[in-house]
Amino acid sequence: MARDRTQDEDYLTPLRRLILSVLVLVLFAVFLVWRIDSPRVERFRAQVIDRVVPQMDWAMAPVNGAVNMVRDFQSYQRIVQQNQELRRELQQMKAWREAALQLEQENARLLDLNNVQLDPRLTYITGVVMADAGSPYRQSVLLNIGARDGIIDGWAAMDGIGLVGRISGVGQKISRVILLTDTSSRMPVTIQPSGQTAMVVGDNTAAPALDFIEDTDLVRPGDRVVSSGDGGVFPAGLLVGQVAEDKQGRMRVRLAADYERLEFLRVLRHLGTERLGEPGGLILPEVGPMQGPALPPETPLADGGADG
Amino acid sequence: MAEPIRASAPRRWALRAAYAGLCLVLIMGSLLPLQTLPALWAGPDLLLCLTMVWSLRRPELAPLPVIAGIFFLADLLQMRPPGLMAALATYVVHRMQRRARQMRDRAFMTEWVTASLGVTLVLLGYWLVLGLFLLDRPPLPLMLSQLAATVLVYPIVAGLSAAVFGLRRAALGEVDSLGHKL
Repeated sequence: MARDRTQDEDYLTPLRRLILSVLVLVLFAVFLVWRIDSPRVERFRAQVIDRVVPQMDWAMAPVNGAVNMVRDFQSYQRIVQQNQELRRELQQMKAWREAALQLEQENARLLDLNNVQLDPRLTYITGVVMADAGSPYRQSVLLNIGARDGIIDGWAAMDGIGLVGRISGVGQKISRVILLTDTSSRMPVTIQPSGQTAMVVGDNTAAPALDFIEDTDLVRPGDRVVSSGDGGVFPAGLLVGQVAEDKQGRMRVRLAADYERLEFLRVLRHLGTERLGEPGGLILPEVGPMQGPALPPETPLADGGADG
Repeated sequence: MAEPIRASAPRRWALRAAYAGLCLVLIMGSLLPLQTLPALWAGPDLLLCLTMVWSLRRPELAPLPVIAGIFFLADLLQMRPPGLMAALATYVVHRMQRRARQMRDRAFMTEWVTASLGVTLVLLGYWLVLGLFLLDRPPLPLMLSQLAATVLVYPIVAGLSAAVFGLRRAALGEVDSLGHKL
């Protein structure tokens, strides 16, 4: 093929090549810096997200609303069937409610009898989900609350029922929640009736895997999984989900939180578990007042030299 | 927008702005919190696909600095390692743009295969470099499904670009409104 190289191109090619190499080098350098000193670049990322995403909100809110409306409309089509299902469920729920009320009263009585102190400091801030990770590889959402609302890295985020993830990255007006399903998410948990500790390891599936179980024989599908509070990042005792077994016989967690529609998340204020820093010291009797004859007054060093 | 091939300078700038705007819309669309459940199959990487179409058909409308900036922004917003995907995409797109001239008298099939090759290079390269730097990689089936989806969606994106923005390949010896060779 006869290529008609214009003169323009002869001029432009070296320039383009220069621009290209500068661009690629700079971008790759950013990547290397991120790999070496990740917190600094992540802070930059948080700032960019803080600046950009609230700007997009006015455009995203209507689209988001429209899509949700379409989804709601689709659900109208099955409304009769749903109504019947709901009535049936309501019947069951009423029975459960009675049971729950009785249990709650009993629980309160027992707590009172034992004089148990519950942690009163577990308050929460509720935020709205603004955006998700935007790629199929990462599982995270952005909340519209940030440092100005007092959010701190590492706090736990729940929907009404179960744990959803933890705060990772806080901007001024925005914070990111890494979901338990993300590949970088690890969570220490306790499996309830047996008290086994384990890790919930996110692997980009809807049901994250349970790893490092001490004794798998003691763990059965259906057991409750709650956070253990090990490591001091999460408060203990938050519901995560139920144990389930997949086809390969691996233990997984069916999450209690409704991941299909994350709209409002509550972020638990957690002021850190207090930690015992040192073992108890020796307990000595208090030093009493000095007894016996008073010490002779300090003699100057020059006089004491005669002793030797 | 009719006849953008014979575009005058303002129209060219408008098309450049359209490209950048379209990319921003795509990034924004991907951020919508509609899918918070992990999916088994990944959808196409529309941003990459659109960039391939524009740089194979009209490279002068998708300047490299703009592409680098947009991909870097996408890296930051989509929680990817910042800069890696952007560097790969910029390099591969540059190679594609150099082939745009040869593409002019070829069949669409050739263009499609070339673009597929480019997309494969970017996505596989990204996956390999992540492994090389001991970062956790997305699961391979997910990545391959995204690759396949991106390749399959290329003709659609190309068709839409042609229909809406008149983005066809320049014919041999075509000139713009000032008589410069394209």
